[in-house]
Amino acid sequence: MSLRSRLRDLVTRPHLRVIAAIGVIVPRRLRADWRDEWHAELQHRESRLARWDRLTRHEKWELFQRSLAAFWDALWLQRRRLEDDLVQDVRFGLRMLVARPTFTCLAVLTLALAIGANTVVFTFVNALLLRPLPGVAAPQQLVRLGRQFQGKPYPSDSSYPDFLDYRQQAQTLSGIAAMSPRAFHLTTDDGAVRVEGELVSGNYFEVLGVAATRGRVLEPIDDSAAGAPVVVVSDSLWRRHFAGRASLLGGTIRLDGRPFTVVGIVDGPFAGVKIGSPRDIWMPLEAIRLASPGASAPGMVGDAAIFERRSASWLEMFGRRAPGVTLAQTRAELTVMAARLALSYPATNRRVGISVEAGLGRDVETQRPLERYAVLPFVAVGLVLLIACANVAGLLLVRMATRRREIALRVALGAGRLRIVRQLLTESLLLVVASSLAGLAVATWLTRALRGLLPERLLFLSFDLDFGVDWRVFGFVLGVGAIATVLCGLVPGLLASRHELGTALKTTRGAGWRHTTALRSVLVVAQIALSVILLVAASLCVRTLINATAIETGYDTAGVLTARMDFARQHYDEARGREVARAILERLHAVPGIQAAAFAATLPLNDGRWEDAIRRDGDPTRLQTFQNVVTPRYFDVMAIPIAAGREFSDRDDERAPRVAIVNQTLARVLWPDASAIGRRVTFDGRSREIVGIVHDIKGRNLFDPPGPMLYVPQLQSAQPNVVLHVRSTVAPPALVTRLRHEVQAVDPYLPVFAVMPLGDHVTATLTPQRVLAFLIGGFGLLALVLAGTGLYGLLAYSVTDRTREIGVRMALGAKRTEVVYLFVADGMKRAVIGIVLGTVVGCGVTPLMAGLLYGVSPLDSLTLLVVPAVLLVVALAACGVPAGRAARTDPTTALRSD
Amino acid sequence: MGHTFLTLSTTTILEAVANGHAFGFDIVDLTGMPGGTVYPALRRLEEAGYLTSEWEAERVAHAEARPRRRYYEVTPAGREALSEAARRYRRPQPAPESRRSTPKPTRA
Repeated sequence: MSLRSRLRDLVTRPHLRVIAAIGVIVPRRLRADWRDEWHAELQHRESRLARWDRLTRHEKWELFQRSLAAFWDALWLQRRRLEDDLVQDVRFGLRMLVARPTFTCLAVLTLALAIGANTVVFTFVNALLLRPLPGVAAPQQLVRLGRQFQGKPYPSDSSYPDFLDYRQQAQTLSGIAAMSPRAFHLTTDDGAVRVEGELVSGNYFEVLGVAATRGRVLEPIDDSAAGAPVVVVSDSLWRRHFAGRASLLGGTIRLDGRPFTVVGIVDGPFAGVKIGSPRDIWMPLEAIRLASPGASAPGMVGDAAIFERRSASWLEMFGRRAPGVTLAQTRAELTVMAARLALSYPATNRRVGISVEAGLGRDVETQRPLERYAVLPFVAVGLVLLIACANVAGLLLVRMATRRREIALRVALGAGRLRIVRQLLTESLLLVVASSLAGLAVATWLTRALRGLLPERLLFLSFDLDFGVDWRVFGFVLGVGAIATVLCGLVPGLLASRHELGTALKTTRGAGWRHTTALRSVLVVAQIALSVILLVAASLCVRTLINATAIETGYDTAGVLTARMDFARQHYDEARGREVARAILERLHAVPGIQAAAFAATLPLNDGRWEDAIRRDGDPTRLQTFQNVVTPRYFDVMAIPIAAGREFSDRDDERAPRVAIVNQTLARVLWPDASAIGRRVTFDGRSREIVGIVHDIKGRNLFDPPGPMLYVPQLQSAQPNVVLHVRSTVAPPALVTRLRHEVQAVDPYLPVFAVMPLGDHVTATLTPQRVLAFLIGGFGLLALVLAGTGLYGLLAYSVTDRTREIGVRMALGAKRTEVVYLFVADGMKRAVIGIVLGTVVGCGVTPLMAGLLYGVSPLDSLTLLVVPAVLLVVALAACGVPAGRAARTDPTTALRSD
Repeated sequence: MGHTFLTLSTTTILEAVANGHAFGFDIVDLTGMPGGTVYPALRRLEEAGYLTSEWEAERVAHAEARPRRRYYEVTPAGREALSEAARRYRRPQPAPESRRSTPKPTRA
């Protein structure tokens, strides 16, 4: 066919042009056949109609339309293009990965560590902050409700009258329930145990959407005047303490010495409304009235008047949003109601708003500090991921350099730029999939290791949490994997598809690939800079932990065991409480190996939970003071030295004149110029004479300087909830057994709980610092190793790449030291740029973490000296090894290499 | 190659091939369906193993001065599927699929 006629065809027979145009999108492999088939189709049609010249316009139009049908055909074939290409890409990718096991292992290991580290951090955040309350229906609909006093950072518990008002009036919530956590002394087959439970409103289970596995849950009738004394227990309690006996259901158990009928058993995962603090008993609120008639036990909630008092803060309120209602709508409605209550009851509600927070199971008070602590690990682990990706991208670049002929061949054979990019992305995707799986395994293992750093609980935060992999963790891994794929694969891919690849077939080394080396240099510099930043942060965290561990508490924790007892649950009156405490101490002092034992109202380092205002007699100024109520010999047990005066004795009882002991700080604050001994202070409406001054200890927490402290003898201020402190030379396990034995000899139904060495308590308060030091330190080391291997990889490749050049140089008389210098200088140039860059940026960002540090400045000079030095050494080692190899090059072999 | 469900139009196309209408445009003419329906259906049937195709020899096309044609042929599996589908579509109570607005097959 002549060119002329072909041209005429194209102009006059548009349907053929359409086929040619549509053919472009048909997979290349099928394209020729496809065009043939459609040409045949249309030509047949044409010939059936007549010769083209004699066709009517209408017939021509029909022919054109028919040619458009080819588009649907071509579109349908797209599926195959994807299938074919994808399978091809994956198969080819797998072949490439298997063919180079060293590269693959190195890349997978690098990414697995980075993805694993990211996953660990996320797993922790997930367990501590994200997982919803387990075992309830639609947890996302639940809202926490709290009284928000003006000027207070966190919401407080509610009162019963407020609860009733909200429950009756709220339209945006399908139900509002209330709960008060409460421990019970449960009489079991083998003695008494302390169990955690909840006093709950009658609609508690209904609002939560929790059903009983046996029997029934509590219902509104149970929480009314008509209700009988009933409880619901957990499946775990039933198995733990009643051996799963069927008779428990419908039977009676004794709680705090009073009988209750078990009407139902609920099974996990539901275990109350506080995540991490499993509860075993649910009792109607109304039971307070049952337990209270005439009871004068100190410190008990059990006072029926509490139902009437609008000022009492004792109920945790929560609700379930009605379908289709947003959190904002609920908040708006309840805020209006709070304002109405403030008008109706100005005496109690004038300054009270309402706080409405989504979700149930965590309190804002513990959540906020956690969120603050979570930021740094996330940033750090993100940097680790960046470094790892830079490393793998570097590896891929090297490998691409060795593959440039193959890629050039593919380009020459018609592979488009997109196709090459996709092939390389597929390869990095395969790498990432393998690494993500390995990373999940790493994360699971690391999570277990990290949990070992956590105490059972820290103040009011329990760590008894579910650290498992759920869909959130899985989604996170997927997301991180996707980011890693793009970061690792895109840069080399785009680079590889550049047009100058076409020339790679002709050249052997160098030309056209210089920019690869330049890019790898940038990657290595970035890696080193990032790891400097991480190591600076790590060093600051580690120094914080070291400083914090070295803090003098003011007492000696070695050999001190603590255990709690709750006299209130035993319904002791004051006299009985004193008698029991005295009897227990007497028995313990008779035990060989026990040097001293004492009761106190609280452990130190309790975050200021035991503070009250006191004043100097004759002076109205009030002073916020940390207080403790202790028995004689407390200062012996704690090894707190007496600075002046005397300790408490058994004679400081309820009949004797009221006395107190102050710490040095309080003495100095109140009587700066004279001795405090013999002076008087008033608190709790009673005037007391100061008989002794003791050394300061860390009372509130480890980081604040010791504040003013006041000690009061227990015989003059009965405490229902006490902590036993025992100093002994007996090993803890034997001591615990003995301790329980002696307590049971005094009261067989008095449980001993929360037994732990005092040292553990102090160590536990440093958990955030320890976790940060461990995590950030670990990430820093990982970053260091990755940056080191990155630099090593760059130089090692450079040495291989320049073998011939080295050969020439050596043949021309270059000394080995000169060759070594050539490469070391080459590598160190980049290292130094990275170190300087990292140090400068590090100095800019570390002040952001000042709030997490203790005893070390964000611009700590030691850190800023040591970290760059360490990196210099690592960089030298990373450069030295390949440089040494270069120096050992045999010129004759080198010159013969291609 | 599983059991591909045959819609009425696909059945019609398969039947046309079975009746000896061996290439695309022939089927288009016969059934009156648009090429955008017929060609994807042919590809689908081929993928399902109900059809095989063969390109006619280059010289035949050359001799007749036209592009090569692709001839389709029904496989035994295709025949089986066809008779099964035909039985289904000939029932007095039409299956829901047949209510689609597809042109009625016309016999040559």
